[in-house]
Amino acid sequence: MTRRIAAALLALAAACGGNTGKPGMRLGRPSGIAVFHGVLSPAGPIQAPGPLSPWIAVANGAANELRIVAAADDSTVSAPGRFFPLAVPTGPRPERLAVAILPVPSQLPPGGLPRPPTAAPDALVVVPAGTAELELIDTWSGLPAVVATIDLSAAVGSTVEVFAIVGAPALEPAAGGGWQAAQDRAVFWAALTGGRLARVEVVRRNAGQPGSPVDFGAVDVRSTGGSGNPGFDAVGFGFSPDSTKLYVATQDTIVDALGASGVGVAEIDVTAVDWTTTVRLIPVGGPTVAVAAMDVMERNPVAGQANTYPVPPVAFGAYSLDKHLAVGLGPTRRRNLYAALDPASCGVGKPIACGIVVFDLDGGALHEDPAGEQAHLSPLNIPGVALAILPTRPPATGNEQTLTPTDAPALQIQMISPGTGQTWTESLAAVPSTDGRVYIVDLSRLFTPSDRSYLRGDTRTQIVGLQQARAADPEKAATFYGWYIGIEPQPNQLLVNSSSPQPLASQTVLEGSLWGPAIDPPSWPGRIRVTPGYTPDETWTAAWQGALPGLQQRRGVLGRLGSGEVYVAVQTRIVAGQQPNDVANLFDPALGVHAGDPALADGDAGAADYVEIYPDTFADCPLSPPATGNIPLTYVEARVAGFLPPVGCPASGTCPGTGVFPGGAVRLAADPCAPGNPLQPGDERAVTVTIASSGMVLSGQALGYAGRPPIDLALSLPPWPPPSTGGKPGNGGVPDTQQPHGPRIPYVLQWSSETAAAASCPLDPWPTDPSSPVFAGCLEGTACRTACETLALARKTRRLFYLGDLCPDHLAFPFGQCSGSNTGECDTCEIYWPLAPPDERADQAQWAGAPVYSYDWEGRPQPTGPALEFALAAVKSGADKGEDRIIRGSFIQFQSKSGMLQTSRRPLVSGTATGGVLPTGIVVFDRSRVPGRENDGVRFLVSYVDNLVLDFSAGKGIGDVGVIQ
Amino acid sequence: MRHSPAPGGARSLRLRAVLAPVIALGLLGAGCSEVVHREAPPTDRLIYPTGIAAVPLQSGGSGLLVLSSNFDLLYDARTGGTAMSVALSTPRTTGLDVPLGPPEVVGDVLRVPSMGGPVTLALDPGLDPPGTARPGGCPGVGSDLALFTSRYTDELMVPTIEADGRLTCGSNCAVALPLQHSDPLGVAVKCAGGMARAYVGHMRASTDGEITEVVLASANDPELSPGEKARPVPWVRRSFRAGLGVYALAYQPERDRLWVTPDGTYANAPIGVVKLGVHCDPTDLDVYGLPCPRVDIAGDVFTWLRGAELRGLAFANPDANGNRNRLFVAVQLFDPDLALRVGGRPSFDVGAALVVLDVSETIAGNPVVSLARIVPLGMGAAQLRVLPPRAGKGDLVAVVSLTDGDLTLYDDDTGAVAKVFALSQGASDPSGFLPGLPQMGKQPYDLAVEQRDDAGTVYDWIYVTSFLSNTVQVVRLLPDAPSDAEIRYTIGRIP
Repeated sequence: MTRRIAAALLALAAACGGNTGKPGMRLGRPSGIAVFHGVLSPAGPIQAPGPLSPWIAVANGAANELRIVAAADDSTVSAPGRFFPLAVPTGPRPERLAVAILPVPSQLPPGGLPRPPTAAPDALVVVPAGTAELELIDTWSGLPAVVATIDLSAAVGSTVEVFAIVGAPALEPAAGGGWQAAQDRAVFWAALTGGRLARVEVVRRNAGQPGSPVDFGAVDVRSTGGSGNPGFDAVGFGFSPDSTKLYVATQDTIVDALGASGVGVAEIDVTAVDWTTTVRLIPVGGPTVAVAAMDVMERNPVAGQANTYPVPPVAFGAYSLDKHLAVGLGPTRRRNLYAALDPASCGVGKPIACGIVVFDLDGGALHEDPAGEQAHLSPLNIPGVALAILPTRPPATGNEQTLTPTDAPALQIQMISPGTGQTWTESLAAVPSTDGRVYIVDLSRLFTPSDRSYLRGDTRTQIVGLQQARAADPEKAATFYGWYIGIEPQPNQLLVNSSSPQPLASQTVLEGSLWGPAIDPPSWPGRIRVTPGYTPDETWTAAWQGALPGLQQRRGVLGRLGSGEVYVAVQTRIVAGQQPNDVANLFDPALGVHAGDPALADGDAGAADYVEIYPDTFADCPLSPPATGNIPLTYVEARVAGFLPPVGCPASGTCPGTGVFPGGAVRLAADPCAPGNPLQPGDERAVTVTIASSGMVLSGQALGYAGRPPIDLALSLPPWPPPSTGGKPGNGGVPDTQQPHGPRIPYVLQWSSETAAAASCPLDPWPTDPSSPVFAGCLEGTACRTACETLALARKTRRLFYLGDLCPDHLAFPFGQCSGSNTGECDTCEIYWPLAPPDERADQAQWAGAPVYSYDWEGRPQPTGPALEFALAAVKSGADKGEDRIIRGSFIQFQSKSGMLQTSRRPLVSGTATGGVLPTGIVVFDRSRVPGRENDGVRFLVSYVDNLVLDFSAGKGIGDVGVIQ
Repeated sequence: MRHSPAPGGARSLRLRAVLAPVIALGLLGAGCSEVVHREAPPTDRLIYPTGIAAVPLQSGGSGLLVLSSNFDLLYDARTGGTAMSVALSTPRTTGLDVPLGPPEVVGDVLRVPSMGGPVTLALDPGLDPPGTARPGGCPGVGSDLALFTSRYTDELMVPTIEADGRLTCGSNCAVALPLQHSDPLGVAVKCAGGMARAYVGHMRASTDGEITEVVLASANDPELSPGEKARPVPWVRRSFRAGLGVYALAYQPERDRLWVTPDGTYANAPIGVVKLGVHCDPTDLDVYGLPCPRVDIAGDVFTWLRGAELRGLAFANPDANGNRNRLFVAVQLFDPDLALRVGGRPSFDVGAALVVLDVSETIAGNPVVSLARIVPLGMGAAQLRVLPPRAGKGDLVAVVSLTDGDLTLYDDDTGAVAKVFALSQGASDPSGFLPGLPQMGKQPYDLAVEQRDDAGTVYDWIYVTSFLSNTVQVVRLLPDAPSDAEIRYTIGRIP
């Protein structure tokens, strides 16, 4: 109360003092935002309204009202009392706003759509939450208020609710063919619950008189299914640039007018009287949550055309440095559809990655991959979940737009300002995300710019850490550290966590600082190769006989079938009549379990994986006595000899208590309990299990299983005697460091064709029916298993982003002077990302053996390469240190950094991030049309649930944002 | 000892305004001499009501169990709270402005420790009315039990609900929790495979654990030794670590998993899950000698929604295939950048939301959640309940927002908010509230739901305790018309 009084006194004092400061917006959980043209006084209804102007309306979800600010300068429209902002009362909890232009002749070119400048008030409607009521706001008299309400529930005949709403021109046939906007009319399209769409017309009462009131007109509600098909619920709208096609994002299955069924985006021809008969499915790869359409002049980065650049080329398909980048646009506009995929249906384990997909409407397919590699353009990755896609073209005037200097005719392009430096583009989009940021997408280059460089400096794509850990011997009372595992950067070198790999002959491994100086040619060749655009932010672990991801310490069952096969399944023990729980699909090759020959040396191709079995009681499965001097193990061990296809509960009758494993099981080479308590047919015992690789296994903290890198152990590995005879289970052999070291064996984790792998993997998607016959064709040793594992790894190594970072001007450096250690002499991109020889480096001898990146600026505008490439080796650190083998679970670990930080904007106050938790609405406004604000550019206005509105231009810097509160 | 009056509400500015004079008076009093209130609480009214449960009675009707928290410790701290069984048989008039009579109490009002939390039920199916299967069935418990914590005494209270709704408290009614000063709040019950266990979440992180397991029935529990089976129930079996304070818990019977939301996070918002089927030896170690059971992370809501602090959670009703694929979580939103700057959770909220998550499993069989939807809510959202299932439709979820005073009905079938009870709009208010009055009372704290017949029509009912108005608001709706939900009457307001 005291604060209120103080505020009132301050306000009073300000008024007495002649302060003309505007009140704040006093937002209350803003839930929607819109820009409209109307007649209003900035000082509120007590003054005569000014000329037609643009305004921003914000729905105050917690206060049942709209707030209005001037779009020209973000100043709040005052209430008559002056100390408070104007409140336009609405129905309870206004949630959605929409605006439609009712054009007058001066705005209408013959046969066309409305063009700026707007010459008459727009129609502004508000939808209260949980209702299907459209409230029409007076935008023409200077007294904003709800003047008409229409309840679409009445039209439907039952209670419905509006999900989404958008304004559009009312179309009529044009004299010369095609369609044009009708004068003084417009429509709102509203998505209703129950798979319905409503078309609501608004009409200016007195045609041609801008000051005339607007009324609701005809209402047409139809099912989106039409023709008896089930409808789908729309969650987002987009319009084609000519407004004849409505694009609908939906998470539901679309059954279109031709009978096609699938998920994606629905296209509706809104010129048809019965538009339900025009529904067309656009398969974009999955269900969608947001959509937009745009005719875009794209940079044309097709392989083989890059040498048409008339400017100094730059590396990595960074298409240009300045306005010249517009060269190569076109040659014609492409009709593209942009859709944000439903995150539940995309991702690493799914046929398509998450993000914004681009669909070529003319080509009828997903946009081609400019790198010429993948089946289609990789979805443009947006952190969080995209809430909307709002494309825009360049501002009308001002310094954030210009014309291309060499194209004929010249194209208008706009400035875009990622943290890596200003550049220009033809079209861009703002994408608000659930993570509170608004991301900027360059639609002409088809990538998301980055706020930091992934090519240059310390933020580049790189490995930032390496460490090794040697596991304790489970059979020894003390810990032994006999062996190092490390990266083998070059033959006869081992790197465990040092910047300076040493020859193995010295048997000395430095453990100093990580990775040494950035510019250090001897330090980097061959260590761990990364590729910008493919290498993710990830923590990697390469472990000797490591537990397979997700298969460590799992509840499982150990049993014997009536047919005699001994098996282990990872699942909770089944209780008769119930389905098992926590089921791992052990049969799925994506998990990475390998069956094989137990007699082969550990790590050899074809060697069987290990299964550590911890019985609930040792009476179930007695342990073997330890070897002399050793302590008892706490588990029994088995090897994976094969796989058993899934077995589910019968369709009818009681589910048996044993022999049911819906995810499949691994078949063991022998009964691990045989010495003391052999399994009998039909037996099943509750155990805890870990499945470990026979050799090295690579895993990512987020990505999981990432393959089996080979390791250079110098010599062949004689197998240890089996545990039953006192041998040490799971240990490979005895590498002899006195012998000459073996060859370096690189492991390449790189994308390969998903299409080819999927064609040979009948397990994708995983059959829901355990009795599916496809399992029988995918047993151990079949090509099916290889294909399915390849497919799983390919999905984990997809392109993450397309490159658009800038390298220094290549020709600015003296040709042939680069020593590889002096950034003053070198294009630093060359240091990190060397090209295929011949190049001009003076010290090529030092670079012998360095990885050569397959991309260059001559013909491959987008690089391709491995997410990771490295070679592993192990060495005994000294004869006096005891252990003669690599202990199971010893590993090296390193982190990779993608270097990518998608360009975004967020609320900042005095340069400090403030609020901006969850966007609730976004709208775009070309403020350059406002006299005196020409250089403001195209503004995106974003409402946030935490009571603020973000106001920014993509052409301005990250810190140059406005916040309206 | 931390005694925030309401889940999540401790951080609300409004509540702080309430707390401030109390604390100040407390400090003043402590400075002179220790003030000890020995008065017994009145039993004809609700006093800062918190937990509530709709009880399907053995007799076939419904009752309402309402806790009074004695939040301001006006009455004796150890016995100043009350648990009362309120009859739902008599319809009441509506409107907070209408003076009403005292609650129609069934039996004696139980005196319980102060600072009671949300109420969970464990009903013995052997006591179900003939031909009826009551929700919340817990075979083996032998009687109908109500479970709630006292944050003042660090106890789990387990009174018995008699056939007619009366509450009784035997010698084992109060279970002392082993973690002192740990701020126990949420309770979940597992009744499966012969086991009947309660899991209590402690909001204060401790190396001794943040989840306590209490045995409610032992006769058929396969994990207990003969000696343990001989112990009189309930008794504390163990506490185990979650790594963070635990705010709320939900048991997923189909998967034998316990899901938890943490308390005290500011840089992440992990959804924790405990696989209760993991084998632990008697020393609570797993086969690797590590503490067991353990809490795994099924997802981090922060990656989708920065500034999220997880509060109450609830699973959807099982679908036709018996799957619960949806998890609903109330979240309070704070400024995440400010949190990073100050190194802790800011003391004020900037919003709230209902986060709708899809629950699935990795190919390795581990639970994982993905974001399905974010629905903005009134500030202070904390407790939520899923309404009874609707044939062929997604669930309705009711959420109370303590700071803004809202009750929000979210319809997962349409993916949108169907109804919000907030401030009265005056003349247009269908319940006749005066303008500006909070329709759910001031600071709605907790809620209970049930489905029951009223004059031949089956309705869903929602009961909301108002912490500051000392009332329970009763909301009725037809399951297929949630937007038409209406306040039927008010319980507890006295002249």
